[in-house]
Order: sequence, then C-alpha cells, then structure tokens
Amino acid sequence: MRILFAVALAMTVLTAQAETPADIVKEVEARLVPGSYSVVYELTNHRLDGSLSSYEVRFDIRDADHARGVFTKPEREKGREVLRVDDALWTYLPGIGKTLRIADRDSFAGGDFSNADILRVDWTAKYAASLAKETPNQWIFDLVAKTPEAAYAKMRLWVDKASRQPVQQYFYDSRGTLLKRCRYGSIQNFGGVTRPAFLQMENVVTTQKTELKVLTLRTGQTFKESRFAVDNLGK
Amino acid sequence: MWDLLRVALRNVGRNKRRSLITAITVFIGVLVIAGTRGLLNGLQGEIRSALTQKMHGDLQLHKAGYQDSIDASPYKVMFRFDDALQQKLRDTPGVVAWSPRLRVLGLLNHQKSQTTVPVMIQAFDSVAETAVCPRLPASIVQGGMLVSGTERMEQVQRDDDLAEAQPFDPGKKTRPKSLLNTSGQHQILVTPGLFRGFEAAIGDEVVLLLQDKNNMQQAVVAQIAGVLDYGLPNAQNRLIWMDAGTLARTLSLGDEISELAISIDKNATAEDMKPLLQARVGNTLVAETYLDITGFLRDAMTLQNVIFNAIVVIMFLIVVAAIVNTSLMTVMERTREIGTLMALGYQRKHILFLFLIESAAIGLSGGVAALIAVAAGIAYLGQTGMQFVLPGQTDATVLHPYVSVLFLSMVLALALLSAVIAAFLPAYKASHMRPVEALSKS
Repeated sequence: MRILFAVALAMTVLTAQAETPADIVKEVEARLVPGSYSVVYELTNHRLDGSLSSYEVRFDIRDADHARGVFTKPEREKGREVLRVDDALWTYLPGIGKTLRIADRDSFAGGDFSNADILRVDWTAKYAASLAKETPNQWIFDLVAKTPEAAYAKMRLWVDKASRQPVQQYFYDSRGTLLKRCRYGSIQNFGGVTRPAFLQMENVVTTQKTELKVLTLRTGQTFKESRFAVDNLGK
Repeated sequence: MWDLLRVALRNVGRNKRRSLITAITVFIGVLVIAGTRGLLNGLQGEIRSALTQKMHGDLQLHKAGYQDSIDASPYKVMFRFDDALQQKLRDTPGVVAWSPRLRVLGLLNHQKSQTTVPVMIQAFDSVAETAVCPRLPASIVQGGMLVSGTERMEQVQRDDDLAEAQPFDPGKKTRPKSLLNTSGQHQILVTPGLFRGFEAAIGDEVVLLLQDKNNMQQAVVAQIAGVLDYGLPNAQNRLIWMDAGTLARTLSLGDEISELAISIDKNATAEDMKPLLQARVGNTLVAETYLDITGFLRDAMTLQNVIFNAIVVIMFLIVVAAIVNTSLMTVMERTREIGTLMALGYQRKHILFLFLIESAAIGLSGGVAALIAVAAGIAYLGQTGMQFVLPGQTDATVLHPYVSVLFLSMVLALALLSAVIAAFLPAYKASHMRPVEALSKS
C-alpha cells in the first residue's frame, strides 16, 4: 500500500513537473477560445473627453484561422462585418456595399483592442512561453514572439494558479516599451466553459480604454465553409 | 561716316524733348525687363535654394518606383546603404556630401493633449543632413535642431512589474496609473501646423507608434526639440523629423534606407551630374534631381518664364511703337533739313544712316541709363535682401534678386535693336524724299 502511495505521489509530482509554461498558457488560451463557438461581445470605448461608444458584435469562430463577426448594435453599425480567413482580414461596410481588406494591427471598432486581439488568440502558436515569476497565487509568464507575424514583440500574462484563469496581460514592443494592458475579470461559466466575462484594455500611450463584455457564449457549434467566404460577406 | 555720326549726335542734342521722351521709353522698357528678370531670378533662386539646401539636396538616389510607393508602402522601396554604394559616391567627381534618410509612416501621440495623428516620419543623421542641407538648422523657428549624437536608446527595461496582479473588479473604479516607462532619450522636430494643433511646447513628451516590416508594433517616446518650417508653399504639414539611427534600430532596418540626399559641387549643375551619378550607381537605383522630385517647381518655373517672355515681347512692342511715333514726327518736322542735306550732296543712304544712328544713340543712352539703375538697384537688393511672406507661411522669405551681365548685355542689345528697327521706316521715308519737294515744305 505504501509502495502504491509512493508511486502515485511520484507520478503526481512528475506530472506536475512535466507541465510546461506553454501547457498552462495553452490551457488559458483554450478557455478564451473554446473550440468552435459563437459568442456575443459588447464593446465600450471610453474616450478621453468622457464620451462612450458601444457596439454589440456576434462572432462565429471555428478556429484561430476562421472567424466572422457581425455588428448588431448600434443601429447605424448594424450589418457591418469582419472576417478572418488565415492571415487575411476583411471588413464589409453595408452602407456602401463594399468589402475592404484590413490589417491585424488596426483598431477594432475604433477602440483599444486591435483586430488581432479580438479575432485571433493563438498565443502558443506565435509566442514562446517562459515563466518569469511564480508568486504564491499566480504564475507570471513572458510570451516572446517566435514568428514575425506576431502582433506584439512580447506579452506578459498573469495566470491565477487556483482557477487557471488569466488575470492580467501586458503588451510590449520589441524594446520592452509597454503599449497596452488588459485586465480580466468576472469569471463566469458559459455552458461548461469557465472564463473571464469582462476584459478591459488600457492603451498606455493614449490612456484610453475599451471594455469587452461576453454576453453569451455557445460552444460546440458547426459552421459551413461558406460562412467564411469573402464573397458571402453582407449576405 | 564720322561726319554722319557727328551730325546725328548733334541732332539728338538739338531735339532735346523728343530725344528725352524716346530715351525714357527705352529706359522704362529696359528697366522693366531687367528688373523683372532680376526679381524672378531672386524668387526662383530662393525656391531652388530652399529645395536643395533645406529639403531635398541637389540630387537623390531612390529605388525605382519610389515616388509612387513611398506614401503607401515605404518598406517596399528601401535599399541598402552599404560600403559599396558609399565607395561609388566617393568615386563620383562632383559629389560633395550625402545623407541617408528613412521615411516611414506612423502615428504621433502628444501626451499632454492626448492627440494622435498620422504622420510621415523623415529620419536623418543631423551631421550628414546638415552637410547636404546647410540651411536646415536655420529653418528651425522654435526650439533647436535635433542632435543625433545626444540620442540614447532605451536600456533593457527593468522588469519591475512582476508583482502579483490584483483581482480585477469591473465595478470598482481605479485611478489609471501611468505605465509609460522609458529610459531612452529621443528628439523630434515637428511642423508649425502640428505644433499649433497640439498646443504643444518645446520639450513636450510625444509617443511615436510604428509598425515594422512585419507589422509588429513599435513605439518611441521622445521630446519635441524644435519646430521646423521649410518656408515653402504647399510644404507637407503632417511631417516630423527624427534621428535615423534611432528609427533604424526601432524598426530593425539595419543599413536599409529610403532615400539618399546628395549635395554637389557648387560649380556643377544637378542636371549635368544626374547622368554621371546614374552611370556610377547602375540600374538598381534611380538618380533624380530636385526638379524631378518636385515636378511642380519645374512647371511653375516654366510658367514664370513664359509670362516673363510675354512681358518682354509686350515691352518690346511698346518701345518700338513709341520710337516709331517720335521718329516719324521727327522726320516730318525736319523735312527741309533733309532737303538741304540732299542738296548739299548727301546721298539717300546717308540720310537713312543719319536717322538710324540718331535712334540708336537715343536707344543706347536710355538703355545704358536703365542698366546702370537696374544694376545698382539689384546689387543693393541682392545685398540686403527683400523680405516678404509667402502664402501659407508664417516666417518671411528673403529674396536676393540678381541678374547676369550676359542678360544685361542682351537687354541692351535688344534696346539698341528695337530703336534701330523702330527708326527704320521713318528713316527710309526720309531718305526717299525728293530734295525739291523736301525743300519746298514748311
């Protein structure tokens, strides 16, 4: 019995030790991108003059390379769409009936999230994770870009040990200048997926901020290939 | 012949009022033509000088397609400024100095006003740039010139924010803390328009947001060192200047540059140097003069010259008409004198020459007097300069009018020619009078 216990303990320790920073980051990533799913976000941009602008966007996301979002609020933005297929991004403007190519780095809906922040969470694919520090309650990981296609040169991610939820994230340029900070809160369960339902992105340079609320999230969705065809935007 | 000359000059003196009127007509014509050319030379010279010594240099080397792509895709038209290229420049006679430059697009954020605008960034090394564009430092209207030697890149940032993050409560309002932290020292120059728009002060902190070749976000925190005003109409407003080394390191550009500004020997012309430089650097790069770069200037100068030529023609016609008029009057008044001269044995050709010499003498005196006045006036203005504010500019532009001796000689020749041409018809008429009829007229 003692031997069995010792073996079980050793196995547990070995398993724990085998868990790399990349594994933990991947787990966090999986909470934010739970397979093929539909999600409704409410984004609120806080301007420096105190004014607010809010948008509601419904996203169908199949994987890191396929996502399509449709603006549902406010009325004047209704029907506006964004589409990611692999590395290409498009936006459809219903007012003029045209589809335009946009860039990952462009601001999403005029706020402080970039298109890359919203439409693609593929940290482990593009960044090399390492443990910068471990505190009693959190892991602090440095994610350094390993491909030139990464949107940021470096990110720092705070992960709560107990819940394995993201707490905070910093975004840097290649010389270590802090560009943005994202804070995660309101952990909620969306049909079995427990994740932060509230994100606040602060632009360190402009000191503006944008809040993102997850209104609904449904996992296990299946989407036709045509859903992610550029020609189908606006239809 | 000497007799004719003596008689002609005596006649000029005798008909003082008419001679004076004709001479004044020539004087005004020459004054207007030579004076206008002098002012136009000053204006064109100032624009040329401003373009070559403040902005572009005499010549530039670019990658093919530069003019079409620099605003949309600045990274596409970059080329390597390597030792081989520098050696080619050193081996090109007439090339005096060169300044490698970078041009990229970015966003400029003024921290105090929290205003962010898209800008074109031009980066250079201050020493090399001043060698090519010696008037650039004088274009700083506020603050000072950026000094590349004092730029200091950021040290590796201290990773001091490794503290445990506080749980985020979306409902709780927190005071935003300044997270901007930099250990570098960078300077930028801005246009007067940006400076006014930001309501900025010298020393204000700005952040440049850039995308490198791979679209990765980069940032430079800098201070506004000065306000640069080219003092040219239509100068780009959303333009800033910074150190090329800083920009190259920020964007990991290595030895790649966007353009190479070149100054040439003062005795050489950009048009003559262009094929020489082109042959030296080969087909991978394109040599362009400042006129090629600023196509509008060539058109504007051509238009100015066309207008000037029109003025010359109009003045020529006015002068000719005035001389024809006074010469005809002279012939009519001096009919009996012509008859007497013919009776004394003067031939028709002598009468013709007499009137032509008289007119030439008047034209010459009016022309010389005008040239002396123009030369003195232009020499004075050329020395002191003429200050005026060009449209859209805040600072006065100083023109230094000048006119060449060759041009003055040509104007004098034109004055003489117009006087002689104008006098030909009346002189011909006088020479073909019949002596008996001429003597009988009162």
